[in-house]
Amino acid sequence: MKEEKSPNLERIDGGRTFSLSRREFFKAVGGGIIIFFSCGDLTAQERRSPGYRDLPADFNAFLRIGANGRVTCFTGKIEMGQGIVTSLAQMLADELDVPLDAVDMVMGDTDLCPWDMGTFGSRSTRFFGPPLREAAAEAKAILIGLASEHLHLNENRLIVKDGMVMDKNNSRKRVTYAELAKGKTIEKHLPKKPPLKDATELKIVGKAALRKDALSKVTGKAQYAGDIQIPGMSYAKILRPPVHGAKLKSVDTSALQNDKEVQIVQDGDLIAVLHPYPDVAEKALSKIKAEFDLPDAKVDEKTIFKHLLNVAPEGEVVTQGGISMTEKGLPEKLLKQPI
Amino acid sequence: MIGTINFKLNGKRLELKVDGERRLLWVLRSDLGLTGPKYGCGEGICGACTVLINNKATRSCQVPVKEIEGKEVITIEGLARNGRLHPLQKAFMNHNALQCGFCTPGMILNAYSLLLEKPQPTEAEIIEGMNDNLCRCGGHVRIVQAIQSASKEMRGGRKG
Repeated sequence: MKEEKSPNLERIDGGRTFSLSRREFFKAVGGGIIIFFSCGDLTAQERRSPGYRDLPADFNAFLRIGANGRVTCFTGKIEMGQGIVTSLAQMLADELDVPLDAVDMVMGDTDLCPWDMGTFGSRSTRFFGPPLREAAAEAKAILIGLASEHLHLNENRLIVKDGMVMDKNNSRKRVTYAELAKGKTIEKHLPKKPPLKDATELKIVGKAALRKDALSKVTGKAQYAGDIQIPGMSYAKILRPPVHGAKLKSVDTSALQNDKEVQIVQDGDLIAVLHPYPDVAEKALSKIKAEFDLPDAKVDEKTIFKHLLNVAPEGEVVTQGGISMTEKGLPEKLLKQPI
Repeated sequence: MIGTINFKLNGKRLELKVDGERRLLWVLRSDLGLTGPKYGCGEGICGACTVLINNKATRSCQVPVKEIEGKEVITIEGLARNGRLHPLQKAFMNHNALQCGFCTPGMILNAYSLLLEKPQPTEAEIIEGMNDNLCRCGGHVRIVQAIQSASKEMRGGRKG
């Protein structure tokens, strides 16, 4: 085994608690393509990962039960086609025992949602899912406790269905989550987290559900970053050099001199044209005459791969560890929760 | 080069003072605030900007706006009528035929045009007809299924 160049390397894989910044990390290990292996003791990694440590302990950070019975889920994760606007809602609904349709998602609003480092690495379900379910399980247990006081019935006589706590012997004795929570933060916490439902008890998770964003996407109402328009906004189109390494020699913007509508921004060799309509900005940009000093490029799109292989340094092992193979080529132990 | 252009947009007559050389996509998105047609490649390759011009799927990023004089334009925003979704919109929802949804408006409108030409397309004809609309999420199988399902429903009555 080779000596480790970066003693903290495995932490990078361990969760959102980066011990090194990305820049520091690349400085430490050098450039090139880095491939991370899940190595070392997974349980220790799990303990370090934010789902188990860094997210808020207060379940109120994850969910709110409105006075109208609707449940709002707060998450720092965002929807980008992977489907978590629906699947996280399914996880919450199942654990809390409310209908999936009663869940509204608030995603990525930094004023409202629990802290999160970002949405990447196929981590939303695996790392945000469990703490969300824990929060829902705790909220449900507390609501059952409140219902027990409200109905003057022992907790073990109560069952929950679709956001309603009721006497299992007399379903007319009932109270809704909404009536219990009254839209307020529940100032009550359990010293010990209640257990999560077993997979066999799940009714909503694991079944295909209508995507919560489907209607807005088939009607054109869904807004993407490029669709956002703010009053007074302009689009910038940037003058790009023809090849990498080109240097701006001279620029002539005189063709746009009499154009009152466009605005030209010049900062050194960065030149941009601004207009409220992106296509008008683009067209105006094409009227700028620019001359570049072109480098004597030795690489083109045909020779690039050969070039990269030629200049690549020898690969080397930076760190090594983890699960060894048995003589039969099988892993020594199995990961409890494979990613 | 500002001129006046008269056309019908999503069922309403419209008179627009505009430079006729500008591309329809940008007039729809910027001047008229209809962001359903998406800017994907801007080269007519990806199909995200597809709209219907006289019921024919057309890449709006390639069409000078002067060419729509006297014509009817339908964008994804105008496909549902009287609050009722078109069978294609329903089928795309029910088949989960979308992920990020960026290609969806173009997919649906291209499929609309395809079904007008071939109301009962075979699977191969759907694949061929949809081949030039790109989906980076990889939703193709569900998209084909959704179009098959909408085609069945539309055979029963409403044409669109």
